[in-house]
Amino acid sequence: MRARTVRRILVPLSALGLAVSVAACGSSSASNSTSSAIPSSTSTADLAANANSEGQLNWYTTFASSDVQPIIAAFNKAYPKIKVNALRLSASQIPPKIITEQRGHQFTADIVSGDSPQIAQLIQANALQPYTSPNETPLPQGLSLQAGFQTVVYAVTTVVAWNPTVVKQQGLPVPTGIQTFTNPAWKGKFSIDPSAVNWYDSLIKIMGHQKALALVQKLGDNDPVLVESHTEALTDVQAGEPVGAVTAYGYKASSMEKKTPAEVTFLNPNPLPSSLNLIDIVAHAPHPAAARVFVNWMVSQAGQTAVIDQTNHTSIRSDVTNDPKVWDPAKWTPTWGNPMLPSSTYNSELSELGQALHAPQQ
Amino acid sequence: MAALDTPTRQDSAPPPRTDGGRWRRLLNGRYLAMTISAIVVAYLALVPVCTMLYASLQSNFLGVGPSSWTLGNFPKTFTTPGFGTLVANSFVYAAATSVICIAVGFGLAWLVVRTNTPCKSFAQAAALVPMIIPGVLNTIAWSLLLSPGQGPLNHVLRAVGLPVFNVYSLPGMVLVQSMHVVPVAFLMGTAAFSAMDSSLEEAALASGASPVRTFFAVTVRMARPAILSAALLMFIQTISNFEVPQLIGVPGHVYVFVSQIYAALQQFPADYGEVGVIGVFVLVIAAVGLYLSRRVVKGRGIQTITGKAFRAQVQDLGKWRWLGFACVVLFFVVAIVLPLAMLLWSSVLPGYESPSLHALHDFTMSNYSDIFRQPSLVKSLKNSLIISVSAGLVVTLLCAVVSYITVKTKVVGRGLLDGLATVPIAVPSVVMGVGILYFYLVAPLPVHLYGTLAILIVAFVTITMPYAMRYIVPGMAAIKDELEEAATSSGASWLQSFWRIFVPLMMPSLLAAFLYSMIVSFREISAAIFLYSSGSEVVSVQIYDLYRNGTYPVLAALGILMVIVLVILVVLVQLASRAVGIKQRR
Repeated sequence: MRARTVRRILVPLSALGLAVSVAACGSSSASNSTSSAIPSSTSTADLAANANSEGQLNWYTTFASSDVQPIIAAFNKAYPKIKVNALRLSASQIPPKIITEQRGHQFTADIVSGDSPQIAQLIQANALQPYTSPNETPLPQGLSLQAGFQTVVYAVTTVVAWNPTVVKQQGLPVPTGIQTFTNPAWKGKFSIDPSAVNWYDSLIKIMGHQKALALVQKLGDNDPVLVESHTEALTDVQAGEPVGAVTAYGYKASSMEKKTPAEVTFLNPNPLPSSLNLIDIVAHAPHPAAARVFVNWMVSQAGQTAVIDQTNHTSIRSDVTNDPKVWDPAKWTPTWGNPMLPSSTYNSELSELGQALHAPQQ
Repeated sequence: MAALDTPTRQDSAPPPRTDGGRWRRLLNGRYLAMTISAIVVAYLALVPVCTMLYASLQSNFLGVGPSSWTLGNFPKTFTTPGFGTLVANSFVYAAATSVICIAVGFGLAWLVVRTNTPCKSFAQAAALVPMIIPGVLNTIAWSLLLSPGQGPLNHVLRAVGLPVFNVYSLPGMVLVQSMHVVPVAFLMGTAAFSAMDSSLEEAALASGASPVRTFFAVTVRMARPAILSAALLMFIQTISNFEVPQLIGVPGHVYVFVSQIYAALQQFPADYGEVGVIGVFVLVIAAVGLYLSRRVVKGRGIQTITGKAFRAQVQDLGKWRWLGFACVVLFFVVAIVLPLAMLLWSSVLPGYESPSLHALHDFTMSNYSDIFRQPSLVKSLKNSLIISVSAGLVVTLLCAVVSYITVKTKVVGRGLLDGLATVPIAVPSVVMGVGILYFYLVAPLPVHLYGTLAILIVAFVTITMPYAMRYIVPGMAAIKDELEEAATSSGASWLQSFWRIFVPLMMPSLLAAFLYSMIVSFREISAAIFLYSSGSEVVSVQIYDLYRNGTYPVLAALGILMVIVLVILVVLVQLASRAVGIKQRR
């Protein structure tokens, strides 16, 4: 009887143990890392031949889903034998995704393109490998990036946007800059992205830390609607509520203004908060030659033209034509935040911005 | 596993004490199914919970540097400014949602199952559709309908002199979440009311009790286990919900647990310690809730399905049946027509504009054709179909066997098994996604699931398992033991009696569990967002992506297509189940 009781207790425990064992046993098949060492002296023709033999590459990107396929199609016109598998991720998803995969020895991504703070985080985590593309163009004045990580996909500006129809209907002051949104008339009628560290860092550079903090605190006290992204802010503006957006992307605002001018218009502050979107090769990339070919194409004139035509983003190349309403350094002086923001600074600015805007504590 | 079993009535005859007899008993279909199910449930439940606990006790979980054991995440999280408000908001939000959903969902279920309210088929379909509308879409639609300045419904309220309803508030969150979760209560209510023999109600009425007194003294009492079970599920589901807190709460500065979890994930490296602590906190709340609900219903579960033929009698409401019909229509308009109309409107314009005749000048169908120009969107629809149907089938089968173990046997540890099957409900889906991602990347498993559809199926089976159990357990509990005893004494094997007796009698519960699991798997986003890879994108994540990118019209078009696909799936399942049901009864 006693033995039976013991059995009744032991057997379910054994079952649970078995479950854990199933999880714990087996060989480590997670690693599929391949060598990504390619001599830097490899000729373009050899690189292309190697890339063709690899046949594919995996690209983690923050480009919108609707933009990804046309860009790939443009790439495939030049390199039809390389299949591009794209994975669209938000900027904040990119570092944890790649770092977690690498911790699990799962080296899937070949290339990553994303906002500079997140790329900086990956560089600091040794998750990327340096590569200098022969097609790289000099960085804009006042910008510096770590050697080997200077391949820029596009520049992006943060502008103020509003719905002109609703502004008129409600008799609101027409925005002349960020400060307009501290006006009590705008209370609760504008949005801001509390994770816009890029923008806040540029603002600090423009105004100095104390003044920048004071400005965002005033904005926070004027009851802003908190949004998740700069583009979402513009969709809201288009819908008429909130009526204005402090952190909207210039390229998107311009595109939307062309389609629905009665619902969206924008203003480039001067100096103009600007930041970079970078492209880099991931450490232990399984298709290193194809990755290099793709990066080379992306920063080339052909690649940049394809990107700008499709997305209305801004190229830093001088031989590509940008949207003049978005980018004209003669009219609006770009002010760059630190593209290689250290993690500690990133976190402290994120926390400071969140507190000022009364966002969830970070 | 055989040794686990305390003899029940059908086990009373001791097996011959020979090695051959013992092995035959061990290889018996009943024990094999029970053992496999118990192992799978334990595995599914323990992986995310253990990962969450581990994360809460690590100084740098998933970080790039070294990590060590620590208890420091707990005081750090609990002393975060505003944590008290967070707890209060979360409780009010979840409790209010549960109460509204119980009242509306069970009320509708009662009208459909137990009364002669007209157009019951329509009512049944109407109550399910809100569940089909993905949470992101439902939330966006409501935020547009009720935005304080431009929302069309607020224009109406203003026009009739009523105060504006600001959706970006705690009441707004409760309203939107309730519209989304009511079908859960409805499905559970339908299962409970369908499984009830109405003889007790008839006896009460025959004894002179008024219909109202009969309703509260008999009907509600019999349904009380299901009501409590549903209330607890909706409370926890609401606390773990991602879309409403993020899309309505954060813009309105109303923060709940999920807002804090999401904020912790924005840092670099993400503060998984805090995420784990909040996850553990929610787990404890859920465990206490589960314990209390069990204490309340202990011994009060009522077996109403007997060997005698019965059917749930329909109560004649007289002229009041039209009031019932009006309630159904009101629900249909508020929960379905309004949000879907908003989505439809948005899907036929190049950019969002408030509803007006003037805006129709920009009418376009290009948003729909845009979907088919993006291979990733088409592929995501296909992936979601495969994943949701697979997850629905697996979880229904699994939970049917597990509910048999927990309800119909005296196996030692059945309470633990029931607890384990319930545990995933208390793990916020965001945490679940991180936990599963980490485990399947780092654990030295023989089969590599990362980057496949299988890891998403595993996640959705885990997430939906507690809900499927809540649908199936009341159905199983209502079947009297004498039916299985009769089958066993007539020589039927366990598999035969399970298939021929339990499955047909439990068909409403099984169908509800399958439908719910399938639909949730189709629309779930917060875990999927961590688990998808190139080639395994799912439609819910694509919709969220489109939202974040401001591609609102395409998002609305994709949402409408998604709803159509789900409606077709639900109709097909209903038709198939009717066919099976008829066959079983022959």
